[in-house]
Amino acid sequence: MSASYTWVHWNRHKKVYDGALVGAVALYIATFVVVGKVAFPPPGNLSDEVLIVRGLGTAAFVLLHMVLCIGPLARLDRRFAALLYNRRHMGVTVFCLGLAHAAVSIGYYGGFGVRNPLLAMLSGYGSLVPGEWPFEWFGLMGLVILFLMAATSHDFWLANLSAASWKRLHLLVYFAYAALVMHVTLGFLRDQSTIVPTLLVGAGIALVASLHIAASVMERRIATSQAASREPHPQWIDACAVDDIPESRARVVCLKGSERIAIFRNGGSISAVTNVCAHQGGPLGEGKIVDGCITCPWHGYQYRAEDGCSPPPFTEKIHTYQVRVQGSRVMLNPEALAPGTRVEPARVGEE
Amino acid sequence: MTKRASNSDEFYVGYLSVPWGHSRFLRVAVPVTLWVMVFVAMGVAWTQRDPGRAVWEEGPDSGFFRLWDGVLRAKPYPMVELINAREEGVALLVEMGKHGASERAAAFDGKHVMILGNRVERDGRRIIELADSPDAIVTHPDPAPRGFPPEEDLGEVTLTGEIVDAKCFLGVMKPGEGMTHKSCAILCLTGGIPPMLVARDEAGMASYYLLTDENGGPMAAELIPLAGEPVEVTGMHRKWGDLDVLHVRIETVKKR
Repeated sequence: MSASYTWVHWNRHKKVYDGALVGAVALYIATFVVVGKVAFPPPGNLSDEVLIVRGLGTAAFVLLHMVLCIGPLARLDRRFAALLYNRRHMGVTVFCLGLAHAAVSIGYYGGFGVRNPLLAMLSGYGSLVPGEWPFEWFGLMGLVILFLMAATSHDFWLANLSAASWKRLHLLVYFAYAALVMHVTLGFLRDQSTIVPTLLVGAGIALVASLHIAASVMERRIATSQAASREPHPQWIDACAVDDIPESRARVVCLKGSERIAIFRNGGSISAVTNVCAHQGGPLGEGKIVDGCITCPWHGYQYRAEDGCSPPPFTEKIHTYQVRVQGSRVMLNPEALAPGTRVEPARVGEE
Repeated sequence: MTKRASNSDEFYVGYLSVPWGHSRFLRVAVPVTLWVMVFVAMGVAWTQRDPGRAVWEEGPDSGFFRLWDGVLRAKPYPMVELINAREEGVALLVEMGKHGASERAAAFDGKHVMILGNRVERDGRRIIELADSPDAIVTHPDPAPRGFPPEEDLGEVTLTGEIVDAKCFLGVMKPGEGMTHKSCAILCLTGGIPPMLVARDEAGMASYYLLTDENGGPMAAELIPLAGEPVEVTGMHRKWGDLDVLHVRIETVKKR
């Protein structure tokens, strides 16, 4: 969390994370180039530029798979949360690798000739047939989206675009992924003589899809089991049993036509807030009470349970809800209160 | 040594210490991820398509410039019938980059010339990339011992293969064919690099045909966008010395 903007709020975790990231990328590209040279010695060698273009491009594609897998993995197993923490830097790295891949390949394949290489690429190299796109255009589409995401990845944009708009913009990563799958399939894969690269791409797509489906099924199962039933009085609903809420944790209640609500238990107190973190929309209900504050599992943003405000000097606020305890049940008023509205926590054992 | 038990209620916060259970998990997950990346890099790099055996004795600073002599033919594309003691046969001529040599070669059509350039060669088929020097082609002081070889007509053939730019395919780029090279091939052909059909039989054996229009002139510009794609081509097969030439009737060219 931060109360002011700087380029990067470095801490030890981010330094270790970025060090491992840069090391992994360097290791990947070095392995690709060295193995490419060993497998194809002169005079049957691949051009150095081709190895570099392919090394950069495949590194970006592999890393993009990791970016897409980390989200659902962290939902399925909390221990992946550390990989999620600095995922934005991984996303920016994907863009940088993609940009380097595009720059070297446009210069190499399009340069040294009678036309401007960039304009030649944008015009489809004069090979336009109606309904037929050069595979390079799919790569360009993916790169433009990755650029928009990288350029707006800083919290400055998150605050100024609003969390919802920022989230919508960054969901375009799935369009970028689809465009890049087309780019790889219509380009690199069509030139290969073995099925291995095709199998690897297929496995990557299957991995991304299956993890997203698994995370979605898990969320739906939790939501179904916790779907609250409305009692006769329309204002209050029976949300869950007091004992359903683990100490310092939350139960998430999913209501039709309403956003998810996280009901936290902190000792003898019960409070309810929106499940959506004001920072990046992280699932607060999967968070924990740390130092007396609800703490988001994604980036550690904190809110006081009783009023949904971040502790000073931070200024984030989230919706709060009225709760009361009736016997062993937690009753919830599903009308969201304005962000930062103070609500007296319900006390367990006091009616 | 005391053994710490992992607490299932552990919670990771980026700016606090990593919980022990998470730390233990990451010590396995991160190296496994790195190994997966290494195996993917090895698998993709190792299984790339073989680009074929080709040589490009590259660059003005590499000391690979050679001197050839032979009889120059400027049309439909610049080429020279070599009459060196150690090298014979027809070699195509191109400039550096994606540029044909028609302009420079026109003044030397039919003459005995000396040529300075780099050798590009694949399966015995040669291209000379002219040095970036005004003296890369000069008239030889002696008359040529023989002229350009006579043409031999071998009849109509239908072939399947890929239209490539001869310079990249014969060794300047590896691979110099296929979809990823299509853009480069189009720009090379647009710049005047001679087009070639790489026809492969069922056993994968390749033969190379210089492509012209049906009258023996430069290949029609309409065929340039088909570079890098599998095509079927019908035309008259002719032999110019050791060079196979295909006079293509444009209406017979089909994308496969």
